[in-house]
Amino acid sequence: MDLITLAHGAGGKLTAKLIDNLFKKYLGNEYLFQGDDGAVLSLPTSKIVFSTDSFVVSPRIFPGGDIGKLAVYGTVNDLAVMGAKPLFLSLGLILEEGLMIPELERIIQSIAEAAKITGVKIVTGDTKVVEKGKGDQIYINTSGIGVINAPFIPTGRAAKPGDKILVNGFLGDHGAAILACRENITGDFISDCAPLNDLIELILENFPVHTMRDPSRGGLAATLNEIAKQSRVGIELWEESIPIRPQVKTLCGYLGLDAFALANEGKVVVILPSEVATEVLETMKTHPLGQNAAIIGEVKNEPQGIVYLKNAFGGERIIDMPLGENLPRIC
Amino acid sequence: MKVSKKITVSGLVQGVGFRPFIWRIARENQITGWVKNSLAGVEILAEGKEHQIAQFIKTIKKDKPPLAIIEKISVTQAKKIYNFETFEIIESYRDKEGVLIVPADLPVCEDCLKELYDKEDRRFRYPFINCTNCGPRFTIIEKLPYDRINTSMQEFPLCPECYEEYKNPENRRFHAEPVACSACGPQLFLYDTEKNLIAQDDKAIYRVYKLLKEGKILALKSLGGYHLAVDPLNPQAVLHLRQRKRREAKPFALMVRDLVSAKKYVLLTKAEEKLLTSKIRPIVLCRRKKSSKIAREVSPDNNYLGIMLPYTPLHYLIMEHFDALIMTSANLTEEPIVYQDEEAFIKLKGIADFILTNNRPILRPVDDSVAMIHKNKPVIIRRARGLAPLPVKVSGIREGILALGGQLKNSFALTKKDYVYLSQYFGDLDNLLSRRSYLKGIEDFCNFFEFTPKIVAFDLHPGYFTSTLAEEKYPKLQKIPIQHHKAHLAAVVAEKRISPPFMGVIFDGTGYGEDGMIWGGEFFVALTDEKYERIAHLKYFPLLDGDDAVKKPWKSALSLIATTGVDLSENISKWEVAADELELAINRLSRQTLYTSSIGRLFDGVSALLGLKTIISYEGQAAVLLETRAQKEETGRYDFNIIDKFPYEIDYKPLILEILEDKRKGTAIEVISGKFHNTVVEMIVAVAEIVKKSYGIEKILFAGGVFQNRILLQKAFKRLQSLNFKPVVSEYVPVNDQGIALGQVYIANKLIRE
Ligand SMILES: [Fe+3]
Ligand SMILES: [Mg+2]
Ligand SMILES: [Zn+2]
Ligand SMILES: [Zn+2]
Repeated sequence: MDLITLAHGAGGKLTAKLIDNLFKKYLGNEYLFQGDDGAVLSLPTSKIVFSTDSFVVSPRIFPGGDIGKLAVYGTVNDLAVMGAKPLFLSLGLILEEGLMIPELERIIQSIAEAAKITGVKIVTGDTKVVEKGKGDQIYINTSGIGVINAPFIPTGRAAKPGDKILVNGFLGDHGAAILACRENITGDFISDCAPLNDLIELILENFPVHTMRDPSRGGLAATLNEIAKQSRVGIELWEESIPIRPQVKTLCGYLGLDAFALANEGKVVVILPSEVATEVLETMKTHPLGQNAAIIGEVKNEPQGIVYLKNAFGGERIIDMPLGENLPRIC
Repeated sequence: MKVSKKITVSGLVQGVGFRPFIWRIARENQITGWVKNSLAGVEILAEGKEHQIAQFIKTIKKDKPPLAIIEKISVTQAKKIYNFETFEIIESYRDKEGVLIVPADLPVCEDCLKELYDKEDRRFRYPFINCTNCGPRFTIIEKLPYDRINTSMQEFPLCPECYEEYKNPENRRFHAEPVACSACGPQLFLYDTEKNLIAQDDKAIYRVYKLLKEGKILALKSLGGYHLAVDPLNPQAVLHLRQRKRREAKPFALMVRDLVSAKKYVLLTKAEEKLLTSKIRPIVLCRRKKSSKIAREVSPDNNYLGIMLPYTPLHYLIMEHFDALIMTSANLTEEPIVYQDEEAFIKLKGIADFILTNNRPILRPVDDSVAMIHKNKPVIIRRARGLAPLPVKVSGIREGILALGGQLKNSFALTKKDYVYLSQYFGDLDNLLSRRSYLKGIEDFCNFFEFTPKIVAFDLHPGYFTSTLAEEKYPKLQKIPIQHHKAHLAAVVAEKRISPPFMGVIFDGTGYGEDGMIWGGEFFVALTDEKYERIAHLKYFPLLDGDDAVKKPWKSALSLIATTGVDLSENISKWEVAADELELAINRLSRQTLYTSSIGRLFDGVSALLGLKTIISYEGQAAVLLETRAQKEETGRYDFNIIDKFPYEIDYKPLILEILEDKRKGTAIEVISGKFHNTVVEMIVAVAEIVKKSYGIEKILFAGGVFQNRILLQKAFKRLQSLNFKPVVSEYVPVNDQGIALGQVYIANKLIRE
């Protein structure tokens, strides 16, 4: 049987075989072929963005994606929202003894495909194998380097009162897809896992963006809470304007979850001056990843550091930073 | 030449008319300055010529009021000459130990009422009549000292007649800060929701009678905020109010004209009459008469009506034409009571048909207090008007502790030496307006009571807003997290001054436990004041989906049934829950990592499995329905086991199995519910017996929201007393989460690192 053994991570023959048969085969490029302890890179500008992310997801393959795609897009998106053009990635794998090699192969293929789509190169990598029971089949770390060409860098500190808040489509799809898999729920739940660099480039080239962030783990709730604190502003969301698929809403209702706290893997929150908001919205809609874009709220002077949701009846519910655990608070 | 002297008179000089006496003789001797009560007795600052002051002091000794006893008069030189123009009495609002006493709002007094109805009186039918013994206080005071200039009455210069009364120490309106009359004081205005003026003053009141009789919804500005008034005899109007307020079934409070009117609708005990007519004038939950004509829609789920008596002159005038009116806080669900005039027109537009307002601003919103009578004593359910901001005396409590309270039904507390000041009620801190008003309330109290926090006590729950607040707002202070149910217990200990050893029975909704589980059915033993040991709890069962289990009692029912191992399908088939949602829940049960020992959830679960309520529309609804259906006279009970380990676990499985069996047999819900209540009482008894055997403990303290259930409270008291235990429950501090701030302060005081 083609299984990963401890020897695959020991640095000997089997490791070399793995590198040749999988990594070089699928991911190969001039940097990776150098085969040294590190990659020597030349960059077109001196201003770079460097970002890292680790990926642990169960199930590894889910509707709309897999852990490989996620590992590439995750870091690419982090670079893109910083206003950078992603160029290079590193790939660190921690494999659990007993992982089926064909499955690993599929993940590597998926990584290769994602790299190709986004135009990044995997330039360095590492593989370790842990004993059976000490890992969850596969963990992936990617670090990425991107270069900045844009005249300004969006930051979480730059949201201004009066700014509008936009998002490029339905929220919570990734979180819902993962939940549906885990809970064995049938229904139309597909992860939004996608590379945002192209869409973001389109926006940044044309508009003065203040703040941009991908609401991945912790969802919109976590992202906007961070921004509200960093920029010392209040954030008002309009319940009726926020795109959430009906099936996601229903699922959240069943599980007592807040869709705003569900993870996204192909969404970007854009905060920019009110004057250009509708134009940005139209522009986003011209892109395949922005068809369902919407203006979902507004930055306010106060209450500082607070995100709240306004509904049609005038009620205002605070969306706090998600705790990460569904503890009851009603006594 | 002018001199300035500080004169301190000690002895029995307070409460005997001493200050008006000083005021009179100061004027006679051309002395300027002031007099006030102080720690030592009475303090005077007197300015005048040397011989005038000498004469003044001589007169104090010679002509003192008959009841006064002067022990000593000491005279010292004042720091400087202030050049006062007049001589004034200063209200200091400190008690004889120097502690600040900010008065709570008072209902209109008998004397003022007499004038209100007296055609000859110049304040005949004047809706803002008041005197030194009555009227608004906490709601109109901006800051101390309590002087007109520091109240929202500053906008109303006194007319000559009112000024005369205000300045005359012999008048009953002497220094009544909110004093006013129709010539100089606030006025009434009736508007439609577009802010078109419809009528003014007495004409407005007559119009209001008519509109209410027609079934209209009136918003009216009361003491601590706006009320919504509706005719409760008109079911159509009540339904209308429910729809507009988006409030499905939660009971509405009623205002009744007087006790005679009250008795048309409810049965009143002497204790209830006493509480209704007390200065607090709370809403009192009273048993509804079978013959009551009040529309069922007012309180569809239970057999009680929350009633209160009029407490402002305006209420008295309006109630002249009604035996009863719905008088419910004007707000949107979950939001704080509306109290600002501009806000009223925005917020109440979709709810009220007309708005009766006035131009006396409310500075601090305060809801009506809510209470019930248990064993002839009040049990406060909501501590607000008439009680806030009165302190609770806790001897030995240190100064400088700020307790942030809980998440819902929130209130906070702060300490001065030996006193704990409990705030009014703020509501759900997830609501933006509630959170704003809570934060504003903390600032307000700190200013008001000249308080600087040194230690912050808050709930252990990592997800309560108060935990974040403690971290973010008070990064440098010592912070003491306190377990929710221990705080519930300590609140009773603090209020009722209980000394150990004792046992605490905390039956509650949910609270974060020290083991990371969700507690709520807890027994603590305290052998010393320092330590509460968790000796027993309800056996843990899976808590499905956090707060969603609270909103959907069927989730608790499912957990309880599933963990007993019986066949699910026959027991859940009739629930009004989507099939896929139910299936999903069943699949996840075994994978839950969050467990609870909550008695609140046990009540919910039993209510749902009996089919009473599977999804609630207001907090506690499932339990309320279960209580309402219980047959009080039922003496039967179900079984349960006590698992012999530490802490003891009360195994609910036999109880659930027997209920299901009874249900299968077609036993009446009234009987099942009666037996269930008895069983919960027996759980208390069983643990109490163990504790008595091991530690000789007889004092059993009750707290937690579940004890708002009267049947449970009454039966538990009766049963424990029959076994010579001494049950205790709090009176003026709520058993629900509004009480925990007091408990937090109490425990923090013991844990402070010096
Ligand atoms: Fe509680
Ligand atoms: Mg990252
Ligand atoms: Zn009076
Ligand atoms: Zn006047």
